[in-house]
Amino acid sequence: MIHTIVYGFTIGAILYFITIGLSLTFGMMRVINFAHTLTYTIGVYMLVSLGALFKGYFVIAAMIAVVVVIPISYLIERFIIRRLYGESLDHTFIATFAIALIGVDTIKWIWGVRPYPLSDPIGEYLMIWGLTLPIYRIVIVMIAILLFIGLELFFRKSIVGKIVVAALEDKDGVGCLGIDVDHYFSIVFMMGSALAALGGVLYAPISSVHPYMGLSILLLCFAVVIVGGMGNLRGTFVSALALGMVMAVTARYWSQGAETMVFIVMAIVLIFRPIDI
Amino acid sequence: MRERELIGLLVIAGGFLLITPVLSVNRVTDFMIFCIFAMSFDLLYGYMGRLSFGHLLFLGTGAYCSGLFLKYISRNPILAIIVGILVAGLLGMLIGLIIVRTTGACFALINLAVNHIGFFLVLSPLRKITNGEDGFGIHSLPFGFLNFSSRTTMYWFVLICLVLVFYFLKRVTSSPFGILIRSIKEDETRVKFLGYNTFLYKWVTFVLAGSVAGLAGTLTALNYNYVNPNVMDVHGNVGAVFACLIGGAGSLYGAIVGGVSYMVISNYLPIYIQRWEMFLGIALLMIIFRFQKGIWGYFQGVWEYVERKKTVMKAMGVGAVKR
Amino acid sequence: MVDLISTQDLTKRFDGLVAVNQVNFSLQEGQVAGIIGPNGSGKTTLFNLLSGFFPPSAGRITFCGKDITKIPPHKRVEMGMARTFQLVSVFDSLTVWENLVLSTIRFKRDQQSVQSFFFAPARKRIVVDDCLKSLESVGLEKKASARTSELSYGEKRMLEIAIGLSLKPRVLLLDEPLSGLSDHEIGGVLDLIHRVRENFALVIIEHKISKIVSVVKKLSVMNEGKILCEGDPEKVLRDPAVRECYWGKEEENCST
Repeated sequence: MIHTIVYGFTIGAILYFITIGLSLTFGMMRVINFAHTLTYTIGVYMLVSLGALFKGYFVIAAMIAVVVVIPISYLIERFIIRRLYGESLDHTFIATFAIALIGVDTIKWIWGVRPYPLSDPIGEYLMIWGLTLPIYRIVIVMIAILLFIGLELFFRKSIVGKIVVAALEDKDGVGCLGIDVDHYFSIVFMMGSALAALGGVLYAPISSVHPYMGLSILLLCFAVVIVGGMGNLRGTFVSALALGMVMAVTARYWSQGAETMVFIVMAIVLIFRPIDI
Repeated sequence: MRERELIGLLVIAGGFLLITPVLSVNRVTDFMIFCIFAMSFDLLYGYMGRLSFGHLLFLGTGAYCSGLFLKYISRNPILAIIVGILVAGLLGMLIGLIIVRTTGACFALINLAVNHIGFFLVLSPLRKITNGEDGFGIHSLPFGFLNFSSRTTMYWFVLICLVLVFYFLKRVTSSPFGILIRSIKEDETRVKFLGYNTFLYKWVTFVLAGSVAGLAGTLTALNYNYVNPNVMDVHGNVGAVFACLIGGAGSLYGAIVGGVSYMVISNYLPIYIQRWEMFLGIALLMIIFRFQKGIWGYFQGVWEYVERKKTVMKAMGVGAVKR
Repeated sequence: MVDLISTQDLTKRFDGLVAVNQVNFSLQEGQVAGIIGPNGSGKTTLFNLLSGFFPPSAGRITFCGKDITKIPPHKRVEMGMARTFQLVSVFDSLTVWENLVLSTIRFKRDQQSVQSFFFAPARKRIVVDDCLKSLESVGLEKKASARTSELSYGEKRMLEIAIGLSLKPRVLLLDEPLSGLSDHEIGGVLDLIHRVRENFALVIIEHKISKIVSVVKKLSVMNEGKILCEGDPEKVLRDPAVRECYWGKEEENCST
């Protein structure tokens, strides 16, 4: 049972990392970014390649992977996402889907289709109360909590953070104050993409690595955003952990139903609280 | 108006008949089935303005229901087709009650979710009857002179279905109901203030689109004599989206043109370009940013421009015939 | 005489702002009424409440003797209440005559069969003729096949009124019908209103007071969500409270 809870929190933490960017992008610019998890996938594959180089230095490889993703996300934002502001929703949907398609194919081209196995970089266990818990997962949860606190501080104390929060509520109002919202949005986008890569990098050792991994986790991220509320950072944290728990608990009793259960929850939430977009 | 519709039908039928010797009976049958699906998708997306990322659910439902019917209940293919369409329609009725209340991204995503759930259902819990990942083969008995195991019979049957569906949808979209759903696309609130219960009509459109997709599903099952979860795979929805974009959303002719284009690209391009999905993505981007009205829309625009020029010139007395 | 429309203590609050404050408004059959007031006084909100755009925070609305407070907008239209909007709202993606199809062939009202609604071409002679007649009444019959997006703002306004008229309502709510129009176009709209006002009740929100004074029989002035004063137009306009809410209090000592 404790295992399930830890696992639930782990998945929830990973979902949180990845979903922040998605939620902010949507809340700030009303763009649904289907290509968001592309940076997630790229981060993982970078890790795979770098991991081979930096044998044994997981942390360094992970950090480099995350950093490499930033310029790529900048390019995506600059040349495609920026053109989609104000466009109708289906166009942004389709355009970002197209980017995802191109990205996945590029990955297949460079790294091939075969899944890469990665293993737990820490590989040690914690013995508490007679239970064996993998330390790695606990580390992930710790990082998530630190991140949450960090983001809370960032959005409340720093100027950039406050601008973003204001823009989430009223983009035009902020623009009227003479602030270039697009510029801050780029920063947010890159931040979100880097976090997604971080999530990927942390998750990779305990899951499978294949070119379509981005797409499968994207659907879950959408569910998190919908349940937690668009652009609602605290909501995202809570719903990520909650849905992670849903997945873990479902997996325990019905191993294949985990993802489906998340969608059922999402559908129920949508019925009772339809989003007005 | 009647003549124009009939000519349109003949052109479409003729078009398919023409390309068949070039490609092959099998391929063109596939194309036609996909065009039926594309038309059903366009009803929802092009005419009513609601993008669904899970329309394949209905195709899959039609395929599985008719397949299961043939496997366990009766070998009558026509009954199987009817069952497939009815169940798909019923599903549309049930989930439509909830889904149709949503709009925009909500609509797209909830359809995606339901499609994914459907995919999962046939893969796992219902594995006993659907045989999960491996799918199952189906055999149907001849119905009168219709023997679906024959490629040629299948071809002609699908062609007739396509023509009938086109005619049906053309009538529906040119009717006051058609004007109603186009108005809903533009401004649903205004339509309410014209005295129409928009929820009801959105629901009807959803059920209609689902049923036609179900028909495409039953034809898929009969065509391949085989059903597996791929008919329900969420990723397949991109084909319909692409078809409607290329062809031009909101036009049945466009859906057919787009459907054939997509089929040609997805069937033949991989032979020449290994990274054809990348190409597809780039093409989609170009269409979104440049050709928002699609191929058909582009030509329609050109046609209208020419017509407009002619009217202006007539008004100015240029080229008028002296009597 | 039973009121056609009457409201009891109708109130609408938006997060602390009371847009409509316990308004008791009434309208008789065939009456032509006007509502004026400064910006933000709650006039359009009152229309939105009457037509069902959103529900009230408190109070009731009665129409034709029935309590319609909880009835959705499309049912109110079926009962005979039609409206236009402050920002002209017609369907740009349709042609001009197509805009009139939906209002002309009311599905249930004219006993249209399911078949003819869903399946018969909208271009049928009967339907088109009716649409053309509606267009004639507003002088737009020559542009019947044009795309609505090509019409001028004034023409779109006339089209919107034509749509309202073709709904054959018992009351037509016009929200600032003269806004954004040139003097010539204003004349056209006023002309139309004069011609049709015998057929049904009319409520007009307007800022161009001088233009509608000659048309309406009863004038209500709204300010800060309440009806300040109502009655005969001439009397209302001379009321000091009304003048104050538009132009402010008169200075006691004006001598320089």
